[in-house]
Amino acid sequence: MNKKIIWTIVGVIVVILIIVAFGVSRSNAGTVKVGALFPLTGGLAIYGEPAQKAAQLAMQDINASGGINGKQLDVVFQDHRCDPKTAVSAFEQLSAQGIKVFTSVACSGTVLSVAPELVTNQAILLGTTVTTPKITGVSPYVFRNWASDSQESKLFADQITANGYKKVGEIYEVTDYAQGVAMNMQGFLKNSGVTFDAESFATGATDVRTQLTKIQSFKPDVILVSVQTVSSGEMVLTQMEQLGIKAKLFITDNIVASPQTVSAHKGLLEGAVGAEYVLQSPDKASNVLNEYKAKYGTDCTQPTVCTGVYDAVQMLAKAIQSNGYSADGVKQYLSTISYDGSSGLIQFDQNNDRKNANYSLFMVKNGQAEAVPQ
Amino acid sequence: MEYLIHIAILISIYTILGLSLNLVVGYTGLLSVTQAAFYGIGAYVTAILLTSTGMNFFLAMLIGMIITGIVALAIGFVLSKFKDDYYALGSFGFNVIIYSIFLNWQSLTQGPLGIPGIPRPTLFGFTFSENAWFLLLSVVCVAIIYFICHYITRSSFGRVLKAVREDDEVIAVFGYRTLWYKLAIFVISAVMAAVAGSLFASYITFIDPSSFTLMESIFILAIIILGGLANNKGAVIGAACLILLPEILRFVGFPDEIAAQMRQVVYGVILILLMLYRPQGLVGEYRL
Repeated sequence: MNKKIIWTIVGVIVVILIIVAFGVSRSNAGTVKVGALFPLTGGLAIYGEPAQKAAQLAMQDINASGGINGKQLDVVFQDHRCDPKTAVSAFEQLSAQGIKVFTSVACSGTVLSVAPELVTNQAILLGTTVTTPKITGVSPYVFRNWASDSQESKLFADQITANGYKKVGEIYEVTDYAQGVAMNMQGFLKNSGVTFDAESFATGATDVRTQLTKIQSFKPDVILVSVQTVSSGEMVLTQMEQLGIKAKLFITDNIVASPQTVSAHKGLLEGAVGAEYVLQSPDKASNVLNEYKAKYGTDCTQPTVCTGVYDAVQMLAKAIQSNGYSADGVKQYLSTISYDGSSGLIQFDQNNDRKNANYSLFMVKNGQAEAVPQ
Repeated sequence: MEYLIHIAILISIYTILGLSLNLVVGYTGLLSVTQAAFYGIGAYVTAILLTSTGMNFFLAMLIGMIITGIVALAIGFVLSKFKDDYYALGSFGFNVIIYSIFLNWQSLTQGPLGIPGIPRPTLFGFTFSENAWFLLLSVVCVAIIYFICHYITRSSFGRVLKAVREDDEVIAVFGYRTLWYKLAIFVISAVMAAVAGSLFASYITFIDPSSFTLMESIFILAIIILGGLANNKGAVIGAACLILLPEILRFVGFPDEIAAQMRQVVYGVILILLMLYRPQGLVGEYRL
C-alpha cells in the first residue's frame, strides 16, 4: 500500500515537473509579457488589489494603442504575499516562462530577496511602493519608482528642529516601513538634544492604550504616529481620543492619504503635520484615476499607488518597444528616461532611485489634509 | 530549469525541518510547535555572522547549531514540566517568545527591516553562487540528516523514544530516565532545524522575522502529519507535497482578479480532503 502511494506521488510529481519545465500556463504567441509581483492576499492586499487594476488599465491602454511593436502586452500577476520566500518562488515561476521584465508593489523585503535572482535570470525589476533605504543600490537591475521612507523621516526631523521640540513621543507599528520612519527620524536627530519615548506595537494588535499612556506620562511636545496601514492608524487615533491625548501629532503618509480617517478624527488631528508622497501632475493623475473609476466603477483607494503602477507599466512597455525585450535593454532605457507620467516627471539617479520622488508636508485643517506651501 | 532547482532547494530545506520535527512529534509523541523558532535561530546566527564578520558559512552554521542546541536545552527543560495539550501550548508560547525576540532585538536582528545581502556559502575558494550547486549542497545536508534520523530511529535509543510515545510511565518503571530521552531528542531535532535555517538564510539572501512565525511551525507540523508521522519517508513526501501544491496551483488558470485568493482556498480544501480521507498521512505509522 505504502509503495503504491509513494509511486503514485512520484508519478504525479514527474508529470507536474514536465508541465512546469515546458512552462504550460498561458499562450506565448504574439504577446510581450511583463511579470507583476504584487501582494494580492494578506494585510497589504489593500495596495495590491488597486495596483493590479491599475496595471490592467495600463495594459488595456497600451494594447488599445497598438501594443508593443505590434504585439499585445500581457501583464502576468503573481501574489508574493509580502513574504520573501514566496516572492522568490513567484519570480522563478514567471522567469521559467521566459519573462525578463518585472514590476512589483510593496514589501521591501520581497525586492531585497528577489534582487540577487535578477542577475542570475538576466531580468529587471521596477518597484513601486517600496520604501526602505536598503533598496538603494541593491542591484543594477532594481529600479525604484517611489521615494525612500528616509525622506519622510527627514521632513519630520526638520519640523522638530525648526519648532524647537525637545521631547518626542513615537508610537510605531513593528513593520519595515513604520519602524523605518520612526528610527530614521531618531537617526536624523542624533546629538540634537531631543529625547524620545518610542513605543511599538505588533501588526494585528488591538490595544495600544498602555503604550499611549506611557507616552502621555512622558509629556512630549509632539507624538509621531507611524503605522503600516490606515486600519492600524484608525486604531491608534481612536484610542488616543479615548485617553484624551491632546499633544501635537505627526502622522505618516497612509493616514494623510485617507480623507475618511482624517475627517473622522478631525478634533484630534487638527494642526497635525503629515508627510505624503505627492502626485506632481494632478491633471494627468486625475485622467488615470477617472479612467480607473470608469472601468471599475469605484475610486482607486490608493491614488499614489495606482498612478505609480500605471506609470511603471507604461515605462516598461516603452523601454521594451525602444530597446527590445532584455534586462540590459530595459535597464539602459530606464537609466536615461525622462518620462512625463501621471505621477509626475520620472527620472532615475545613479542608484536607480526615482530622482524627483519627494515627500511633501501636509497639515490637517478642519478635517482635511492640505499641502503646506514650500 | 532555475524554477525547478528553486523548488527542489525549498523541498530540501523543508525536508530537513520535517525530518527533525518527526523525531519529536512522530517518534516521541511530543506535540511541539516550536520548530520555526529553532529554524529562525539557525538562520539569524548564520546571517549575522556572515554579514557582520565575514565568517565562513560552514563555521557560522556550526555556531548556529550550537547556539540553537543550548536554547533548545533550556526550552526543553521547561517543556518537560508539561504533558500532552499543555506541552503543545507551552511550545506554542516559546515560538511566540523567540519570534518576538527576532522582531524586537533590533540592534542584533534589525527587527522588521530584516538582514539583506547574506552571502552564499564558500568552501575551499568555491562559492555556491549558482542555484544548481546550492541544490547539491542542500541535498547533501538532507542525505546526512536523513541518515542520522534513520540511524536514531532504528537504534535502541529510537526504540525507547517510541516506548516513551506509547506510555512514558511504563518505560520509566523499567528504569529509563524518560526526561533525558525527551530532552536529548528535542535538542537533536532543534540542531537539525538550525541547519535548515542556515541554508535558508544563505539561499534567499534576506531574512526577516516573518519567515519564522508560529504559522511556519504549524506548516512544518502539517508536513509530517500529511506525509505520515513516525516515518522518515513521510517527512520527505510531506515536504514535497506541501511545497509543490501551491506551485502547481500557480499554473491553474483562474481569472487574474481572484487567482491569488482562489489558490489559497483550493490549497486549504485539498489539505482538508487529505486529512479527511488519509488522517494517518500518506505513509504514516502513528496517529496523534
